[in-house]
Amino acid sequence: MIFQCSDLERALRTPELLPEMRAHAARCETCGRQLYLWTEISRLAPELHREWESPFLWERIRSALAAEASSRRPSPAWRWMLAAAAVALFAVWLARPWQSGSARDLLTDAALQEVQQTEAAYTHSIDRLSALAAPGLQQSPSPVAAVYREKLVLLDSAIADLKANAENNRYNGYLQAELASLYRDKQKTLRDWLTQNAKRN
Amino acid sequence: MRNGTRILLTCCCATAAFARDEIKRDFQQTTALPAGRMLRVVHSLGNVTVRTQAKAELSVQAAIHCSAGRAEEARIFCGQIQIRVDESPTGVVVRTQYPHTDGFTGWRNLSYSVSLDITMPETAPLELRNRFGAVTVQNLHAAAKIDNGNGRVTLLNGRGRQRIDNSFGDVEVRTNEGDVTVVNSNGMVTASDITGTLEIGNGFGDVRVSNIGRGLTIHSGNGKVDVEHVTGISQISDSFGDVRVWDAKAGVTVRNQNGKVEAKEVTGSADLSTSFSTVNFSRMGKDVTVRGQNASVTGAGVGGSVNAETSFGVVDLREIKGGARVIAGNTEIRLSDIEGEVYAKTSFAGITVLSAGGPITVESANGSVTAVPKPGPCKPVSLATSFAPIRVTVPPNAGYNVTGKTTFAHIHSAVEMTVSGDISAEQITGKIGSGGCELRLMNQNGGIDILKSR
Repeated sequence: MIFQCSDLERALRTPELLPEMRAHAARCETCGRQLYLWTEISRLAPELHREWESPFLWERIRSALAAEASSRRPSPAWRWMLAAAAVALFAVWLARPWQSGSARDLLTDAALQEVQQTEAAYTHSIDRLSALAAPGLQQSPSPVAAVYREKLVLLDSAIADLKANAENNRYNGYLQAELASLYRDKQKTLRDWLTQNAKRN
Repeated sequence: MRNGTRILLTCCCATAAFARDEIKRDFQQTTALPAGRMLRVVHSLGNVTVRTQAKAELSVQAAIHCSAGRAEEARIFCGQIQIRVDESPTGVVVRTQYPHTDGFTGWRNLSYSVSLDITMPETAPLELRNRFGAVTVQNLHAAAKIDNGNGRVTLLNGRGRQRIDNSFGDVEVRTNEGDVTVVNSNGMVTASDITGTLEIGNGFGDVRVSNIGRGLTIHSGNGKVDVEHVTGISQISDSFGDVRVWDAKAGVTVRNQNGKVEAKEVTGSADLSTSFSTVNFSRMGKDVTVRGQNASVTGAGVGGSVNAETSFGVVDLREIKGGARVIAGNTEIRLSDIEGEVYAKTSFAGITVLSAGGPITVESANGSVTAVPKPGPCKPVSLATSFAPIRVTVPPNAGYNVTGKTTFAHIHSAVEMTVSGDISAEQITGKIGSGGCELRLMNQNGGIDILKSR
C-alpha cells in the first residue's frame, strides 16, 4: 500500500496498518507531526479523566428524550400552520403590499390574508380593551368620559361605513389601510381612557 | 435539501394558487375650460391630484385599476368604470362612475380603484368632492371648495378664498393668498403662510398654525392648538388640549377647558381662560385678563394691567407695567414688581405683594399678608386678614397715616411713629413721618408687624 497522510485516521483505527503508518511518518514531516499529536493526546487523555456522582443525569436524559420524541410526533395542524406561515410570508414578499404607488392600489390574496389577520388581531385586542373600559366609561359622569364616548361613537360609525365599502371592494389597499388606521385609533382611544381612568383612581 | 425543495415548491404552488389578475386601464381627455367657468370633480375610491396651467384647458388623466380572480372579469369590469367629463352651464364636471358591485349584479370578488390626475386653468374656481382617497391641489389661483372624507387634503400655493371640509384625514394648507376655512374631524390641521383670515374647526385632532396675515379663529375639541406669528386678532377655543400662542401682533382670546394655556409675545390685549390646568403668559404688550377654575396662573412682563380670577391654583405675577387685580379662592397670591394699583383677594392662603408702585389693597381671610410698597412717593395701603399675621414694610422717608387694629394678638412697629388717641397692644392710630397716605391694617386673631425697609 502506498501510504498517504489522508490514511492516518484509518490507520489509527486499524492496528494492522500502524507499522506501515509509522514507517511513512518517519519519512513524511506532515504525517509525523499529526502522528505525534495523536500519540500525545492518547498519552495525556487518561490523566484528564474524572468521575463524579450524577444521580439525576439519567432521569434528565430520559425525560429529554421523551420530550423530543413527542415533539417529533407528526402534527398535521402544526405542519399546516408552518406551511401557511411560510407561504404567506413568501407571497407577501412577492406581493410587497407595503410598497406605495399605483402598482399596489389593489392587494393580492396573500396580502389581503395578512390584512385580515391583522384586523382579527385588532378586533380581538379592541374587544378585550372594550370589556375593560366599558364599565367605567359608560357610567362615568365626567366630561372626559363624555368626550371619549363621543369619539368612540364617531370611530364606530366610520368603521362601519368603511367596512360596508370594503365589503364589495375587498382588495382595495386604501380602504383596508384606512380601516386599519381606524382600528388603531380606536385601540389607542380605549387605551388612553384606561390609562387616564387609572390615574384618576 | 429535500425539505428546502419541498418548501420552495409549496410556496410556488401557493403563489400560483393565490394568483389574482390585475388590469390597469388609462383614461385621458382634454377639453376647453374658458375663463370664468368652474371645474367640478366628483370622485371616490382613489386619490385626486389637481395641478394648474395658464392655458384655458382641462386635462383629465385617470389610472383605473381592477383586480379579479380572472383577467377577463377584471377587464370587463374596468371597462365599465366611467370617467365622465361633461360640460355644464357653469363649467365642466368630471365624475367617476362605478358599476354596482353588490351580490345581485353578478360582480363578486372584484376590487378597484381610480386615481385622477387633473390639470386645469389656474384661474378657474374648483369644487371637488372625494371619498376614500387623498386630495392634493397646487398652484390654484382661484377659489376652491374641497369636500373630502377618509383621506388627507393638501392645498399648496393657492390664491383666493379656500374652503376645505374633511373627516378622518389630515388637512394641510401651505401658502395661500386669501382667506381659508377648514372644517375637519378626527385629523390634524396644519396651516402656514396664509395672507388672509384663517378659520379652523376641528374635533379630535391637533391644530398647528403659523404665519397668518389677518384674523385667526380656531374652534378645536380634544386636540392641541399651536399658533405662531399671527398678525390679526386670534380667537381660540379648545377643550382637553393645550393651547399655545406665540408672537401675535393683535389681541388674543383663548377659551380652554381642561388644558393648558400659554401665551408669549402678544402685542395686543389677551383674554385667557381655562379650567383644571394652568395659564402662563409672558412678554405681553397690553392688558391681560385671565379667568381660571382650578387653574394656576403665572405671568411675567406685561405692558398693561392684569386682571385675574381663579380658584385652587397659585397666582404668580411679575413685572407688570399697569395694575394687578387678582381674585382667588383657596390659593396663594404672589405679586412682585407691579407698577400700578394692586388689589388682591383670597382665602385660606397667603398673599405676598412685593415692590408695588401703586396703591395696595389686600382682602384675605385665614391667610398671611405681606406687603412691601416700592420706595418713592407714598401710595395708600390697606391690608386685612384673619387668623394669620400681617407684615408691612414701610419704604424709607415715606409718610403714612396709620390705623391698625387686631384682636387676640399684638401690633408691633419697628418704624418710629407718632401715636395719637388710646394706646393698646391691639389697636393703634398714628403717623409715620409727616403722614400723608393711608396705611390701614385690619386683622382678627393675628398679629400686625410694621417693619422698616433695609
